[in-house]
Amino acid sequence: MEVNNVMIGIDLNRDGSQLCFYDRAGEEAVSVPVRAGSEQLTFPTRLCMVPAENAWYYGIEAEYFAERKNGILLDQLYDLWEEGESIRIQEKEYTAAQLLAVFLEKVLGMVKITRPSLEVGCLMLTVPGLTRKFVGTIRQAYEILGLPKNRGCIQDYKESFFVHTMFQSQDVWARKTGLFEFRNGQVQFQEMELKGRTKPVTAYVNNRGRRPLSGNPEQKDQQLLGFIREMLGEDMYSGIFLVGEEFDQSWARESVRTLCKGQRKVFAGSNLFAKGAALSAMEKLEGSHLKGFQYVGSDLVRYTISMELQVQGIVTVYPLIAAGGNWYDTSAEFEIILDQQEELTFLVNRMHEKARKKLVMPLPGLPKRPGRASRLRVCMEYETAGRCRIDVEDLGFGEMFPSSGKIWREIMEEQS
Amino acid sequence: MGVAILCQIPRAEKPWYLENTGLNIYSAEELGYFICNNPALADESIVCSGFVQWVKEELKQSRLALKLSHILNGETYTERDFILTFLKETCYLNVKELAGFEQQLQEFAEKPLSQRLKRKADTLMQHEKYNRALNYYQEALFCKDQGNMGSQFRGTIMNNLGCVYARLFMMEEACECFRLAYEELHTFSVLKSYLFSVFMKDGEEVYRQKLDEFGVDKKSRAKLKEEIDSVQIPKRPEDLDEALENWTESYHRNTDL
Repeated sequence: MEVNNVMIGIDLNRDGSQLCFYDRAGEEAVSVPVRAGSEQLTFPTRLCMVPAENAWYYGIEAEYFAERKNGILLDQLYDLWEEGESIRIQEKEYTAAQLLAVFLEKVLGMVKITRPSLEVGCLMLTVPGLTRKFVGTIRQAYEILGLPKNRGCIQDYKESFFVHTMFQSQDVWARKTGLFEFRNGQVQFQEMELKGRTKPVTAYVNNRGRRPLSGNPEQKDQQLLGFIREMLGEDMYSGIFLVGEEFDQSWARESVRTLCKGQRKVFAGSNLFAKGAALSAMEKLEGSHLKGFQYVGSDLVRYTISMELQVQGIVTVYPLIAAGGNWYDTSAEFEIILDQQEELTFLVNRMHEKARKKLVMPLPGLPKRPGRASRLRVCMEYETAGRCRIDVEDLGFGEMFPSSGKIWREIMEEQS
Repeated sequence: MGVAILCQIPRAEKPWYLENTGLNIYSAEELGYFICNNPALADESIVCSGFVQWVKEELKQSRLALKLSHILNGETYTERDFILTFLKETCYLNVKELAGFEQQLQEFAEKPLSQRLKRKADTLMQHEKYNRALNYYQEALFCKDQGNMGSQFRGTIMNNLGCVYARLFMMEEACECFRLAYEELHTFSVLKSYLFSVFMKDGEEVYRQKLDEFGVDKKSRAKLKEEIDSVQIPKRPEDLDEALENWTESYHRNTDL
């Protein structure tokens, strides 16, 4: 099977979406405009179904066809995907995942991709925030598109900001890096900080504050200036990014002047998240740029979970869940044979720490059987970064000891 | 209490059928458990090319299948090598346990054929495979390789044969076997089996005659009576159809008929 290995980043947002691809020759992420020759990068996160043609349209076309060709416009798609809800169109039921798959397929058409399973090396979707349902929708959509887990990926805006920043020259991120995001008449500030004492170097992105902005340009500049002073304070920032189509240097002269003080690198644009996603896709597929750095986001699983098991005849502490991955990408499913235990003991240790805590999961009602004649299936799945659900099922032991059908559930929560 | 084992070999969709016991085996671990608990039954029902194919196709263990195939096709292959290779590669036992089991298999292999056949029959009895057990007991009894087994061995086999017949409700044969066993062993336990089978076959009067014939003392008679009186008369099942179905199933399982 031939895979063309195109590396794509898509910024999926309620207000509008964007597509970027990684250009191998230029070694950079390149944004794709909505139309050839246009500078517009953002297109509406909308789909339109034209029943007469039984055809789907996305973005700007969706709005056009809804108006001119009596198409059915789906303009609340993002909410639908987030909630994992289905919708009925012309007597036909569409799941959230099916609609997302249609949308992504159409969007990939911007770079002439018609067979994602063959042509996409890695697709990274970046969204403002993730929930389990949303992750479920995206995973299913990837399945429909024929993208396996290692080629269909997800990250939130914070991680895209981290990746995008790390691909800039070092003088941008040598100290703290700030991000002002302008959206819905508000500005939000986030900062990225590297903590170099650990190996790998850990990176954190934190929300610092949010402020509504006036419609009056002069007032807006003053409001932003006040917000900048409040947020940056006396801290050292080597780089600042200003993102969002609501930002324009024409009304923010004084604010920009303040930001540029002290040889700070300041960038303005609207495609930071999509670029970050495309760079992540490249990094996942073949990169090593981020080697030595560990992004510690709010989605990060911070604990390694292990169990003492006999593996290949040797007793060892076997890692089941490795810290350092995002919760929605982290899960484990395995089967074990008990040797007369009536409980499972998990060993839990925080990332970069050696001390282990024990978590005992009792299995009440497990049938009494001889040693090594009870097979259990253990499924570990995260509901959030700090909440791991463990389901254990008694599989019995073939015809000799049939399954009791019992299932036990335990929730392991991270203690702050 | 030991340490749980991580299963690294997938379970089979199609099971391996163990003909001797009528068990379907779905995983390497199940077979490991079966072999370790029934070493006498680790025989040609496992050591065969069909099993090697099953290891390859169902357990997805091509490398192991190749190893087993080499052993099977080798000039000096033994069932022991085949079984030990399977156990070693599937890691159901740890290194120490495997060494212990190897010793156990070695000792078993060195026993005279008659004893190995008896052990096989004993194991089949435990699995309630009476007809098969019966065949192996008879084979053991008439086997040329008796080692230095004497009347004690023959007596034990006759006693066990009596048990098999009794469980198959073939009381005529059971009585005869227990009588012959008693002639060899002269133990009260065998005499008791004989007398009880007579009771079941010919009723209380003949049983009493036999008590006199064998000169059973008063104290022992009282003990036997107590045991007979303690037997509870089975109640008529509420659901006769279901009971009949279960009995039929047991009969087929026990007899392979």
